[in-house]
Amino acid sequence: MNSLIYTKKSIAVFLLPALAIYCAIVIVPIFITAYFGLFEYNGMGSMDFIGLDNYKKLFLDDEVFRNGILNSLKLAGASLFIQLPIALVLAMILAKGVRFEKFYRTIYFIPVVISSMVIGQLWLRILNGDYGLLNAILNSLGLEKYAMVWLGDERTAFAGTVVPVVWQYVGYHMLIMYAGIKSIPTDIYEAAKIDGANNIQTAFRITIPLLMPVLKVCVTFALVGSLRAFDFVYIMTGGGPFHASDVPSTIMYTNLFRKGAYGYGSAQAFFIILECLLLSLIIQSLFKKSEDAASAI
Amino acid sequence: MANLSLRHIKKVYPGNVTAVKDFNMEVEDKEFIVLVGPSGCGKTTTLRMIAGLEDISDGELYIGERFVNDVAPKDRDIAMVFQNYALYPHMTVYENMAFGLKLKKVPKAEIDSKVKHAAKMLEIEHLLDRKPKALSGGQRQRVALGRAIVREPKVFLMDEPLSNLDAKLRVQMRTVISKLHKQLETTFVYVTHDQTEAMTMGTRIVIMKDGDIQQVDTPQRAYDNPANLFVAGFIGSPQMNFLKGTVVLEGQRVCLKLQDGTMVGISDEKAAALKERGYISKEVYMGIRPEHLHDADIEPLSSGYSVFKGQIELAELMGAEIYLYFDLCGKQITARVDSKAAKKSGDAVELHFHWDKVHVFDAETEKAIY
Repeated sequence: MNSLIYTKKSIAVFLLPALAIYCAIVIVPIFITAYFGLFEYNGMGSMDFIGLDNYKKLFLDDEVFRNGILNSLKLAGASLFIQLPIALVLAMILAKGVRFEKFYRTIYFIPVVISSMVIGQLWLRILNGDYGLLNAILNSLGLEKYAMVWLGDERTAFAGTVVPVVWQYVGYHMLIMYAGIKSIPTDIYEAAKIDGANNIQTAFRITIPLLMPVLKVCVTFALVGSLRAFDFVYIMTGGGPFHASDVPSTIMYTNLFRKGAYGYGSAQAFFIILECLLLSLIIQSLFKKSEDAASAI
Repeated sequence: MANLSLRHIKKVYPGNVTAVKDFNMEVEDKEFIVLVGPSGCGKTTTLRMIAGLEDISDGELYIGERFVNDVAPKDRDIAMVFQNYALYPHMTVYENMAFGLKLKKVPKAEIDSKVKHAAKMLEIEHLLDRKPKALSGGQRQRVALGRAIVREPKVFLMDEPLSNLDAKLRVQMRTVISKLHKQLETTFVYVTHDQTEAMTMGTRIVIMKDGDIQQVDTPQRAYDNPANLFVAGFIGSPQMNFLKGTVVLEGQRVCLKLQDGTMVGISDEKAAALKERGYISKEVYMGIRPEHLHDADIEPLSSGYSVFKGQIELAELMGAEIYLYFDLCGKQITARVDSKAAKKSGDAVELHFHWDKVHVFDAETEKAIY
């Protein structure tokens, strides 16, 4: 017993430096951010305490931020209902053992390793109103009337930034799901085959239920990634036109580093952190039951 | 009717690896066939071809009168019990057993009655609401059997279903499966590498090696009359003792000259058979089971016997009997004698054996001469 306590103490001591560093660079800055959110502050001059005014402003007065939240939720929706299902279907097809499996797996994963800047530039060229590939295709198909300045139009600018996000991370989620499917014992599939399950029934009644722990990770990554999305919007539209494609992170960036509204920007940053934490907890509890059921694999 | 006909079945994997060479046999309705052999002999591949989980490279497979080479597993009217149970971990025991019937769109009431009937048969009624991870190995195997039973298949296929269980549970489940076979009156094809399972459960056993059938026979006949050296060595524990020698004529008497020059007299009847088949001056293997070597001190044979003499290297007391290990012609010989013998390492031993218990195999073809 003594040696056990001694071991536990030793483990705790060894973990302490990492915990201290983690707190210093993650936990403490979160509280500092929340603290700055209580002030009217431009980052250099005096700090005027204004209580929760910045937080109230976020929800009551700032229509741009509210629109940003809505956009981030749309992006989360696209990730959940477009990106993840595509990734799941691809993972199931690849895991079934198609020809050139490794080749396809690599191809789908390539966008993940390319910098967002490069992908943003690539899609800027595809969606360019004058010489973009999309308009060129529409023109060649005789659909000129649908050609437009995709990223310059309030109606399509945000959608234009969603597409690359979905596209880039399909391979990422596919790989996680693929590894998950491969870890399901093959004899379970064989038993299902003998029981008479076809491919669709096998997918919905065997693969997906057993993949729940992996799907939970993917859903968490996709949702949190969407809520704090920044790079593609910043690169492709900068949040415009007229804030049509703004998301909370780009608005926060503008406030913090462009407008000098350090206090208000901090409040926005703290809100994004809280939103991500809250959603992660909700996902955890939503998946708990199904995850427990599949834990035997 | 659920007879099974395997006609020159062959399985070749990519890379020209032949797993099953020419499997040819007829399984009668309600038979309990056990495929037995060492790892890599092709027994599981054969079972999986019957199940439809592996394509048949060549040959014809019939279940009943139906040619099923290209029929999907679900349409073959078979059920399979897997080595690792293959239960669906996210489903309860009830759901596991009902899954196949639900997919067949069997009415709920019928599913319920079938599942409960099978559960009663296997004494797992109290486990129906549990998930597989809350069950012991033996209980999981019963559920796997239950899942097979509710399908009411023509043929039950079992792939080493007891290999993950501990020794005690294995004995218990062996009885459960044998009883089940009697109750269900269906054809069973059972794969195992455990010769005890093969001997105790099968109505006929198929002994396989390197993708080839070595012998198809009842367990008793395979034990008493092994077709070749491999079967003789594989069936029986401790395994049969083998000694290589040359059949020679000493005057008018036919003897077996062992490799160290020892001459062993052969009984008249056996000698005549060897002479008749032209084995004089030819090499043969002599095989004798450990229980057919009798300790001269406590159970000497009275007439028509031969003798082995040696010094015991190791004596293993097994309770009712004792295994004596000694060296003869550079080979380790095992004798299974009554524990009354009270022999110990270093003791000299004289063992008697009758020639009607001796098996002789052609040294070249390794086939049994008698």
